[in-house]
This record gives sequence, C-alpha cells and structure tokens, in this order.
Amino acid sequence: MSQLGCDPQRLALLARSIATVRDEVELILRLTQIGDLAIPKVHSVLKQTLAVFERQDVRIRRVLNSAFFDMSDSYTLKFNSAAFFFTRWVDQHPEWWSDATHGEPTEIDERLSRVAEDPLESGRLIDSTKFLPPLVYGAHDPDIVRSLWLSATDPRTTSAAAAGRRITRLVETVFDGHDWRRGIAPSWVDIHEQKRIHREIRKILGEVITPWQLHFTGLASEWKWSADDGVGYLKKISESKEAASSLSSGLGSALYRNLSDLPLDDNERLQRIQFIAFAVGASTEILRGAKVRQAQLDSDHLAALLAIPTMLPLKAPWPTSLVLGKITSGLIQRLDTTNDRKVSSAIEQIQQHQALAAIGYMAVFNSALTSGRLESPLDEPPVELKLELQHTVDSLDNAASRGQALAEIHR
Amino acid sequence: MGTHLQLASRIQDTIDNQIRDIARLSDSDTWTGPIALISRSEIKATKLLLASCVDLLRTHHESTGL
Repeated sequence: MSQLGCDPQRLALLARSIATVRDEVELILRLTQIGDLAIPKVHSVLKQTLAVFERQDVRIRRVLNSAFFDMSDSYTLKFNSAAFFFTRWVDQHPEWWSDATHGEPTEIDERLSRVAEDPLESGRLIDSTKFLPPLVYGAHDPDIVRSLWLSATDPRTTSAAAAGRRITRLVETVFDGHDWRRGIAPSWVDIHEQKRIHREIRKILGEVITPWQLHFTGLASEWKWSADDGVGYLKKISESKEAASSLSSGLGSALYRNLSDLPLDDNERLQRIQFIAFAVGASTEILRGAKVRQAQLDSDHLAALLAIPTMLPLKAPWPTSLVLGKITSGLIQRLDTTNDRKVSSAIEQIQQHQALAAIGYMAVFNSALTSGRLESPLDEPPVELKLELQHTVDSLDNAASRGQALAEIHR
Repeated sequence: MGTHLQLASRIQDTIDNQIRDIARLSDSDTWTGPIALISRSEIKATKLLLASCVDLLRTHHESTGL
C-alpha cells in the first residue's frame, strides 16, 4: 500500500475516471426508465454494471482516505508526507511515549513543531493520523502540543464539524484506555515527568475545548454525539483547576460567538437559542459542581465581553428587569436550602446567568443587525425581535435549569 | 438514428473511452507498486455487461424499427 501511495496522481486520475464512468452509467440507467427506452433487461444489466463501479469507487476512496493522503472533494490530491512519515516513525519506535519523559526534546517535538503553528497543516496531520496518542503524549514540550491542538481547532479557522471530529478523538484519547503504554521497562520512564505531562495535557484540553464547550451539551447534535457523553467528558475535564478556570473564563465568548450567527428560519432560530441556553446551564452547573473558585466569571473578563457591543443603545430596560426578577426568586430559593459554601457558589452562578443573559441579549441583537432583520441599532426593535430577545434572556436565565438537571444527573 | 441506437452508441463510447482509461490506470504492470486496485477480470466483466446492453438495444431496434 505504501508503494501505491507514492503515486498519488495516478490514484487521483483513477478515482476521477471511475467517478465519471459511474455517473455516465447512472445517467444511462435513468434514461432506460423513460418511454421507449424502458427495456427491463437492459435496465437490469445496467444496474449490475453500476453496482460494480460503485464497489470500485468505494475501494479507491478507501485508499485515498487512508492515513497517507489529504484529498479534497474535487480529487485534488496531495501526498500528506508529514502524516505518512510521522506514522512510520511511531510504528518503528514503540518507546515514543517514554522518550517524552526524559527531560529533553524528542523526535516528536521536532516533527510536531514543524506544523504546530499552521492551522491547516495541524488539522491535516491530526485528521490523517489514525493512532492519536503520540500527538498528545509524544512531545516533551507541552507548548508544542498546545499549539498543535489550538491551531487545529481554532474557531476562527475551523468549522464546527472539523473541530468536532478532532476534539471528540482528543477527549477519547485522554480519558479512554492507555493500552499503548506497554513494552517499556519501568526504569526507562520518569514517573514525575510523566505526571507533569499528564497534568499539562489536562490543562491544554481545557483550553482547546473552551470555545467549543457548548458542543458538549446543548449543541452536541452538531458533533453527532450525545449530550450524555459530552457532559461526562466535560465534568472530567473540569476536575483540573486550570481547565475549569479556562472553561469559566471562556464561557461568555463561546455564548456570544454561538448566538451571533443564528439561522434565518424563525423556529430554527428559537430552537438554537434554547439549545445554547441549555448548554450554558450545563456548563455553569458543572463548574459550580467542581467547587472551584475559578468557576466564577472573572469580572475584568466579563467587563470586556460586555463592552463588545458598546455601540448598541440598550434602550429597553425590560430585559434587565426581567433578569433581575428571575435572580431574586432563584436566589431566595437557593438560600433557603443550602449551606454557606453552596450559598456563595449559588450566588456566583446566578450572577453568571445574569451576565450571560446580558451577553446573549447583545449577541442576538447583533445577529438581527447583521442579518438585516433590524436596519439600524437606533431603531425600535420590531415585536418579533423583542420577543426573541426576551426568549434569549429568559432561556439563559432559566437555563438553564434543564442543563443544570442534566449536569446534576451526572454528578 | 433511433433512440435505441443512439443509446447503444453512447454505451459503446463508454466502453471504448472511459473503461479503457480505467483499464490503463489500474494496470498492475505499470503500477509502481505490486497491487492492482482493479483486476483485469473486473474490467472485462464491466465491458461484457455494457456490451450486452449494446446488443440488446440493437436487437430491439432491429425488431421494432424504433
């Protein structure tokens, strides 16, 4: 297979030829369903022929999608030498994971640093590497691993689907079995260094998932996994104080980004707001459950977020009063039933919801402006938009009760 | 030319050009590696299937005059 892989242009041509002939036979097949041309025997033979070409197409695609290639939909093929040589090197060096504990840069440090700063190359390397642990635990310098994963999942340059594929593989690699750690004498592994690397990876994981944390709960369907799985992983990740801190400080940005791009269809828009509110509730509850002081939104960070749409005249006082009303009732309810420590975390959580509801309000307002549903920020919002804004604030404040419930179930 | 003959001619073109391309590209003798992704017997089978369609269409044309 590796020798075949060295002739990528020919593979691409073969793939294109098969696709062309398959399309042609499909067209002829359709023609034989019409009028005078409808001859059952011909139709049946063409169906058999099409099935053969489809099998061939699948076979070729399997080769093209193997670890050694990057292929776009247009069959523009590029030999992914970084992934190919990385995989080959790891195959030949089963001690790669213990090398990382020896206090000096490893071969993997060197190889990853070549692509780590480039979002496209980082993403390609990750996508083309079937065995992921070396891309997580193989480098001695965690900054290289951090750069690689942050580049490949940066929401400014990465689609939600691509980030989802990469991050779900990453969390599975970190939290599922580490069977690959074998065959090396224990004396060859520096346990302290190994612990340091593992601690650093948890921290990096927090940074990587921070902008995507809503996809672990309310927006889980966009990543084609379940919110149950997502919440479980989110809880495990938040056990690291640094990761929890990162999640907490990035929650407002994640909320703003996801609410700033809403569907045009009214129902879909309201549903997405609801999903996001649910996710915010789950995140805040998980962070509160983790009992880390970092779970509170840093006030400076929050102020910066609230300043994003400073150009917007928040003329209507109604959403604010709506939020405050909810807070008061929620707060009394919590004060009645909890001990001191829980009271403080509950207050923090409610304050978070208040702040997040304000962020959500502004994000939806901005979305209405950019989509043209509101022409000018100075205009009085139409009734539909007012209702939508109220729905946002309401959902985020109530949030998130359903998201909280899900998080509590997993406690 | 009748529609059946036109379709037969189109299928014959597919055999003569596109299938020939696939045969050339998948020919194991000229690969840099030892594996033929598509075997000669598979190519032959697709040619035979399509050739039988051509025959059926021509026969239908001759019997019906369409």
